[in-house]
Amino acid sequence: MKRRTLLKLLAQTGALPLMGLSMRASGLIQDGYAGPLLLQIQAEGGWDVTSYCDPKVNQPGEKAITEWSNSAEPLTAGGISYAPFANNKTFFDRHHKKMLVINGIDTQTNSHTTGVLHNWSGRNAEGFPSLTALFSAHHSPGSAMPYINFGGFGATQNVVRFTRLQDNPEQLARVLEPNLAGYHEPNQWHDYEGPIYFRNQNDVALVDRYRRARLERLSGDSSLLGRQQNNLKAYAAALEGRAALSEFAPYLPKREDTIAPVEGITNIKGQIQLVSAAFKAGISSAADVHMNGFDTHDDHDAMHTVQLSYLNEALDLIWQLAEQGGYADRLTVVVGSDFGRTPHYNSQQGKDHWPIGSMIVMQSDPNWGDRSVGLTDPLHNALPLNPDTLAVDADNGTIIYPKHVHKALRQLLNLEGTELDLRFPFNNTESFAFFS
Amino acid sequence: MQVHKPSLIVNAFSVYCALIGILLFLAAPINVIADESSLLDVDANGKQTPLTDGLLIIRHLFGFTGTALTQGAVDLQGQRRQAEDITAYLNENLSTLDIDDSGKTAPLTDGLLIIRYLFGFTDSALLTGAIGDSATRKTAADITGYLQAMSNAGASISVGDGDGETTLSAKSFFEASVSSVVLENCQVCHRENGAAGSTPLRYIRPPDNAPDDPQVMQQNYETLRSYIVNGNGETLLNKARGVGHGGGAVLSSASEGYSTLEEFVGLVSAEAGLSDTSKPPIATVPEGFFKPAALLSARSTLRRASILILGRNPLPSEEALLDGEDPEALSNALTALTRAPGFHAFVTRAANDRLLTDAFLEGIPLEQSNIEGNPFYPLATNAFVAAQAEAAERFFYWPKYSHWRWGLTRAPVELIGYVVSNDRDYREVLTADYMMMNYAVNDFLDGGASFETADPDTLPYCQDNPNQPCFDHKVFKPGKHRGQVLLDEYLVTEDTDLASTKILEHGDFVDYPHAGLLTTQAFLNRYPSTETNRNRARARWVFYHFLGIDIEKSAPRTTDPEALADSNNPTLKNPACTVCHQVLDPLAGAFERFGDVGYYHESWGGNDSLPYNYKSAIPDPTSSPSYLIGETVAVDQTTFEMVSSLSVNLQAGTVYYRVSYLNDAADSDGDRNVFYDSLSIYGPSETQIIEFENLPEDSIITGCGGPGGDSYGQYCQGTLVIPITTTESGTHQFELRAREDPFGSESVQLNIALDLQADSLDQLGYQTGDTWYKDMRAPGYLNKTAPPDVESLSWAAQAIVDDPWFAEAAVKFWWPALMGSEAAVAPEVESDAGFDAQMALFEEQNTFIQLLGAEFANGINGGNAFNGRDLIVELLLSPWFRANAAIDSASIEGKLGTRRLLTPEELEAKFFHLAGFYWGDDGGFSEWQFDGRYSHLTDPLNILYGGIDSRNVTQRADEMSAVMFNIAEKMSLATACEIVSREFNLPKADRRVFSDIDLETTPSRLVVEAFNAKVSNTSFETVIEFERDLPIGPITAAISFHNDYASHEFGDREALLKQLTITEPSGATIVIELANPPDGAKIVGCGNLENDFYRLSCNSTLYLPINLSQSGKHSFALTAAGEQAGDEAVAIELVLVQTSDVEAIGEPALKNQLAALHWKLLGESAEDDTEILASYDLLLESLQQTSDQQALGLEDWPYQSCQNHNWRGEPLNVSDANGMKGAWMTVLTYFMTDFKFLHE
Repeated sequence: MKRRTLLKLLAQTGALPLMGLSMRASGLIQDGYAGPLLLQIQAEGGWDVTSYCDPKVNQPGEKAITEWSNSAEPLTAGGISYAPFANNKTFFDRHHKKMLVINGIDTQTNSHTTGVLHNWSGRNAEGFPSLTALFSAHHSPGSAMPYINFGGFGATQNVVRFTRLQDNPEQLARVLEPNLAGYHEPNQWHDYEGPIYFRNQNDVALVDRYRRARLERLSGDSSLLGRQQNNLKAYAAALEGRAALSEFAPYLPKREDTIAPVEGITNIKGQIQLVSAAFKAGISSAADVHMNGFDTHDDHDAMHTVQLSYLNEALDLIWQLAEQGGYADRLTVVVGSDFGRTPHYNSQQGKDHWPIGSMIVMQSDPNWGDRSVGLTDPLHNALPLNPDTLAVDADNGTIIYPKHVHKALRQLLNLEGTELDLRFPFNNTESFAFFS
Repeated sequence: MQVHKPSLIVNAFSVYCALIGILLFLAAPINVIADESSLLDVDANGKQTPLTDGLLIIRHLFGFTGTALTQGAVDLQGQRRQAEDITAYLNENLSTLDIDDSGKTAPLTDGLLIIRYLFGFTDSALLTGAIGDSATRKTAADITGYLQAMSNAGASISVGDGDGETTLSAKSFFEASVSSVVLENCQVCHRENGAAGSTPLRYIRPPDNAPDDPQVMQQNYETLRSYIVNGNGETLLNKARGVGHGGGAVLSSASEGYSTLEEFVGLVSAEAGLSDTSKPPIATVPEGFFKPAALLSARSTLRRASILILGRNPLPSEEALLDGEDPEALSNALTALTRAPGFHAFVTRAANDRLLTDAFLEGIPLEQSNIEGNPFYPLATNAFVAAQAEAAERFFYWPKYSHWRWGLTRAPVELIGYVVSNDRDYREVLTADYMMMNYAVNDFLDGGASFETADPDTLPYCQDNPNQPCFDHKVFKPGKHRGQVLLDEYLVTEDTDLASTKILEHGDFVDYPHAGLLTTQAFLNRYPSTETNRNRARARWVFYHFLGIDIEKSAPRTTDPEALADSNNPTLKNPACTVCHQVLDPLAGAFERFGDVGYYHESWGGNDSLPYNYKSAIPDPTSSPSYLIGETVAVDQTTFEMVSSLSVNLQAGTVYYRVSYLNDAADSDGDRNVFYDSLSIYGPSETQIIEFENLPEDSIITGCGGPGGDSYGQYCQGTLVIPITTTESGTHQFELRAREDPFGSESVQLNIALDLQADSLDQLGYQTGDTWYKDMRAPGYLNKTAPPDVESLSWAAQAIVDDPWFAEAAVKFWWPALMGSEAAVAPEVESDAGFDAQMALFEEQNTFIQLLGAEFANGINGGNAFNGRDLIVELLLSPWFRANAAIDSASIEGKLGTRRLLTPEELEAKFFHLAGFYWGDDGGFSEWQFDGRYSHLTDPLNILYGGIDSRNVTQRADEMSAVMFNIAEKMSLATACEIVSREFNLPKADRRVFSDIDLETTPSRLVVEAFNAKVSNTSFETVIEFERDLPIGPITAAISFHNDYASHEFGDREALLKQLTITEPSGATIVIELANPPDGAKIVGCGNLENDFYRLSCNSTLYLPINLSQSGKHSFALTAAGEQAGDEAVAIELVLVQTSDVEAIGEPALKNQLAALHWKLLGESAEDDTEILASYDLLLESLQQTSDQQALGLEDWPYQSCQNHNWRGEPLNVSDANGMKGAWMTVLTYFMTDFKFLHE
């Protein structure tokens, strides 16, 4: 399809009033990234896994740990036990084969800042990048948007630069092709029909040529400070990576398909739509989706019902879009939160911070799926496990920490032994056989 | 760290202990014999260091005396420690301290030179801005030589077997040198019940009258020694420098204390026979951190500061304040920037980046701003009711309501802006006994400030409400909050006919206890609390923002189930928790009077802000020290039966039977209650039966209930305490009969206990008058408790600002806004790549921050203490801001120096001062938005360009992405035409960009002249007439119509051109009838022939080629008319362009213009013309390309680079007769997408 025809067609959809760009494209854009993909969902605030993937029932003589267990028992879907809470049943029944649930992860903190740092970088000391950053730096550092971040944890340690997006494809569409001013329909004054540009493309190309020559001169300066060097590299990478952006617009969701935000909930479905478009187009390899609202110090059950329901729907959406986009077999999804929540309710029917949490790793029907690993006792304390057998081993076992999960994920994602893995090592860390 | 032998022989080691570490590195055993010290060794400790001796000198030269002189700057091991001794010493050597030999000894020249020298600065880093006007010693070599001579003067340290040698052991070294380091730096936290009380390192402080108490000394020595012997020597040293240390860095590796500690570790290790596994000390950049860096010149520093703070280049008047590289002059110029309009906006923006209170402008509801039936704010609530009554309708949008919310939201950052912009004491940000109010907040909180009315023409909401007084909602003034009442029995409300709630009566207004921004509604709402959080989040952020301490990082949490299996108030008692909570909780308690969303004493009754659940909770009776026995029972029958039987052996006397109803519940379907019938007590021989409908008079009753019929009904949670006196000793049986009114699935739960005291539990639970939780640490700050008769938050705020951490935290608070990154933190894992570099950066920066913090507290450069403006200027003067290049390929890592990515707000401000308008600004007005207007960059594209919304995205992106670059490019492409066109329509003096050239200045053509006329006649007449000497040859006359206008109401403005007459020197005339233009004529824009004239119906240009056959004076006369519409007369311009080539006539002027743009937009000077030549080449190539494209018009479809935005002024003149507008647009796009335009 000629670009002019395409633009006209897009304008007729009325999807984007200014640019008129809206059409799902199929397949990668030219030279697009076709390797593995990683999507992390950061459920910020500390989720209650006792009402999710590590179900707990009330114990005699103890304060209530879950209200739902007054009238129900945990359910199972394949090899995974889950709480009959929110819309968990729909989600787990549909996707249990894709997932490995890792319970009993000790984040060693009840502070949000440290919990976020620990969960998403693998250690509770600063200095490591997010797994997403490592992944994208290894797989597609030259992509237009190698690493998408929506505002959650996004430390890069300079291994890659993230692209900050928001859940609004219309605004993104407006800047994908900077010189495009709009689309013109014939009218009484002008019979011109077609795209309208700010400047002649030759003028734009002329500027680009001079800009690149100047960038080369600036980069050749031997007296640059560290910041200057780094920012020049980022600037150069931006220039290189943006070529594919101009072809990205047709991958964006149509206006009528764009998922509208729900009042009071972070619109991660909108975020996921954008990530999906980027994955499908081949301009990104990794993304952090960020959903807050899990810090339910009061009215816990009601608020968590809303949050978990939406999260489950969003996870379902991820896989729907992945199937539609033809990249499901390349995708890994990791879901986690700052930590867990206390195994009892406070006086405001809320739950406070608890260091023990869980993570869920998903792929399209993996041989390690449909399982839960990691164990906690009935009061949601983590139990030490043998790293090889994953059985409780009070004498020689170890508690699962985020570093163990990250080490295993690096192995799963073929990052183990790479230069980046060695630069940010988990020394003296046991290897848990989560994915075998 | 080096290997040490078991013992050392030293002489006078107490003076020279720090040197030992250095000398030991050479050989051992080593004997150090001290002679007299260097002239720069002010405290006579045998060393000359910047943060002791250097600081003492500079403070002395500023005139400091007493403790202001010596505090934190004297080595307690030094021989000259007293302020008066130091003052006398420095006075004695004053003339010698005239380092630059200027004839006077001054702090900002000689003092600065000394301190820089001691830091290891050399070359320009040593000299820049520190040489006085009349200096005769000016070169780095001379200065360094002089200082080296001074360093050596009188000092002779010899190594050898001197007399009087003493064997040095670790123990004696500890007593002589280490103990004081530990007590000064560590013991405040590392003590029993201290912040680090759960670590193995807990020291004790000797009595004041026995500082060398041997028992204390011995215990502390053993504590530290044991820690080191257990293999923690290196950990100790790392923690001292901040590595993984909850208390942050307490000793930099350059400090004497660190050297002492390092030495001690070596001695202990050697004595214990430990093999040395440590590695050499962190290698900081030799001879000073900034030695390899070249700093910005004074002029460039001023430019960079001006753009980052004000978004514009310095004004000529500001640049005029500079005097070469003179630091004082630069300081004055920088200070001038802080007095310019725009500084206040910078301050408030920077403050919000920390506090994030603008989140309430981004959708987070500000709970306290609700005035629809809000009983706390009767003035606001009733005003809203009255406004609706006046309008006779219920409405939700009311400008004053919006302004109230806006005012409350902005109050915290406006306070900081007010304090800094008005040179008020910076401590007021926490201690001010007022808050900043706009007119609406002032009205509703009865603030007492007065506001002048504003011009309604400037404020659309005033125009929409002409009957209301017009006030600018963005004007803030200090006022006192006197607008809140309490929820108590005086409150009477009624519903209005418009479904609003009116407050008819209420109690007295609260005498609100201000504590700066801490008591603003926005701060309290932004960091809300809960029953379980109990203000800890508020305390956490106060520590973070105003004390520079991130408590969340201060200690790792244990998750050992055994350690956490503790329900007995762990935050107060469990060491696993107290490590943080003993620091955090007193300050949390200081917020005691403010409820979860921040109302003062928000509980019903207005006595406190404690939650009902806490106040009604029944204390655990087993925690009573006089508890005897008890049980919890369920009552699940509806007829009276025995529900509890307790047996206990008693002495004759009185005991107290306590029965508590624990689980009241009710809804519209029912109510759970308990009814007590009787209590029977069976002694060894006697029996008592107490009927509950007739309780003993001295029984204690809480909760709601009472006797009825033949029983006592308990209808809500509560307790009965019944005194029972027995006359005999022995086993007694207590049997209670009761029944329930069932409700829900639970049975009645009763707790029953026998206690020897009636009131022993009272102290454990809420009592009337309490304002804070009994099971929390008392309100206070660190280990100090707020006195009972003061407002604890105001008291705590004062304690905070009195803490030296506050001044240091202020430096860190402003660091990101100016430096573009957070202040460096100590790296935490030594094996990390880049650890050494990060550590070196941290130590250098931390030392600077500590030093500047101390100066800030004392008054920078002799100014007032705690002056925020001075602090900002000092940061701008620092090498951290000015580092611009690495010398000799050396590199300095870290996010410091120039070329940080501009934030969306900074880029927008820079763009505005280039363009004169905002990208996408539609001229509309938004009273809710922070800046009151719309723009593409800071509104819809803000997040995509790396900005924050203070809500979901709170960290700015600091590296460019492809999407961000596209945004920048789009902005340039969309606006370049408008910038260029508007610029060239202005007189040169009014232009922002092209002030050095005319539009007609081309590389190879000379503009003859341009003539303008305003035409208001509708009949044809001569409108432009002039004479000009011209050579033979072709010229072009370009006639333009500049100010097209049309409206349905006022009609269409157009220019009518009739005739151009040229009278040659001979008197011959060339008459051009414009209805019949000559061959080669061209119209750019829109026009058409009509009868006997040519009509220009939009902004356009008619080009007329003319061939002159004579040289000499030519007369030109243009006959034209105007069809008038709107307010302005028709503007017509006649430009003569000489089309015969004149060699490179415009090139010098164009290059000058480009040089000016390189400086203005990119900060590049003209010294190296490589870049200017490149830009000039671009201009030429663009001009040629435009010509080749034969597209001189700027509105030729399909290009829309020149969109008219009439609300920004006159319509665009899109004629481009010579192609220069297009060429300049290209160049402008090049500049506006340049790395240096986007990074400053």
